[in-house]
Amino acid sequence: MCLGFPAKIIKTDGSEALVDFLGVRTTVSVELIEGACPGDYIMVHAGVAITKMPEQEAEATLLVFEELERLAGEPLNG
Amino acid sequence: MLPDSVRVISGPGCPVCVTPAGYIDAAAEIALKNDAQLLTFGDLVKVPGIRTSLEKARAEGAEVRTVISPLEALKAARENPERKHVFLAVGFETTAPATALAVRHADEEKLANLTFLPAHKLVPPALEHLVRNNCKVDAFIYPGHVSAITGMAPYRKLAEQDVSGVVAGFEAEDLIRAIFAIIQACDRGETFCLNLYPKVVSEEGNLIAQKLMKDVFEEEDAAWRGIGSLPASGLRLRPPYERFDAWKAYDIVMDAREQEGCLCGLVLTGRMEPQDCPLFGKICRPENPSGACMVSSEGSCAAAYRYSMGETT
Ligand code: SF4
Repeated sequence: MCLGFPAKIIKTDGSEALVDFLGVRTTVSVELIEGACPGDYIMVHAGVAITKMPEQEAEATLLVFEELERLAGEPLNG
Repeated sequence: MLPDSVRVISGPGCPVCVTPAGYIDAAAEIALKNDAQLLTFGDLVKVPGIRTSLEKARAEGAEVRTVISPLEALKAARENPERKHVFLAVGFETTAPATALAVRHADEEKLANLTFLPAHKLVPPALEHLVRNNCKVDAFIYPGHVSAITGMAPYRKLAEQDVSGVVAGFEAEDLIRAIFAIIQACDRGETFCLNLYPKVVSEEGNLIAQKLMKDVFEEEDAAWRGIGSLPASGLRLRPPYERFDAWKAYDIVMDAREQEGCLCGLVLTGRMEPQDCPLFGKICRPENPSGACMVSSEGSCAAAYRYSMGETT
């Protein structure tokens, strides 16, 4: 239950955001971070963004998730 | 992969594993006696309690639904106003703010059919407990996502007591970097406190989340599975939010006994390797767990089991 995941904000109204995680779109709360904007990368935990992440780092982390998904042979976010 | 001189020991780092067995029984009882729908993180479903598990309760007719966020519980309660809902609020500082957010929303919306069964735990009191009990590690690897909320302050305080550690992320690369940094820092012979996960963890942490947690919860002494009660290590709802407290709403108390046979307590405090538990792999397996550490994918025994099986196949 502790696996946070990095995601990219597609659109947001300031309290909720539609995000993309490995091609899957899901809605998360952005009420606990300041100034969430489309294009921002965030770390999501239990449906809530807990912090913003620098883009480069987030992309590197997403690559690791993709690799894990490939190794596991199933989607991690299913 | 690591040289013999380096040992990585697992600690009380899995929130499901440290949730007392009696909590499971309390949740099952609420569902069965009061006909309330339980909303829980999936990891909790198979965890054995003292008398039952959520899986068994489900077979007896309890409605147990898995969610990945407390906000989903909020949604479920909104969509079905006739039905009572109880969210099983477990987890460390990473999850507690999400619960606090759900409580805040439930309060604003005056939702009358949702309560929370809080058993949130705080990481720093557990670390202090390990230190007080002569846990002889050279350094701790502090949890990255918990630290995203708390910031570095708790670890700076430990450093003042001569306790070293590094904050790290969860990927293999992060952990290797953490171990490498610890080896280098230990060679220098000084106390250290390093943040190796600055992309996610800032010095002050998430101030909005910290404030929300303080507004909604207050600290209380709490029982940890296999460890016992630790002072100010848990969270209960503050009086203005009391009506959302399922412990009170359903007038239920937690059975403080430990579950028999399982030695998770020794594993959680780094005093025993999972493989040394007499039940490991024989009676206790992921599909038929005797203890919580064998259930959650993050549990030490489950990880040790997967790893040892991988080696022999
Ligand atoms: S192997 Fe099973 S019974 Fe033994 S400590 Fe681990 S979870 Fe508990």
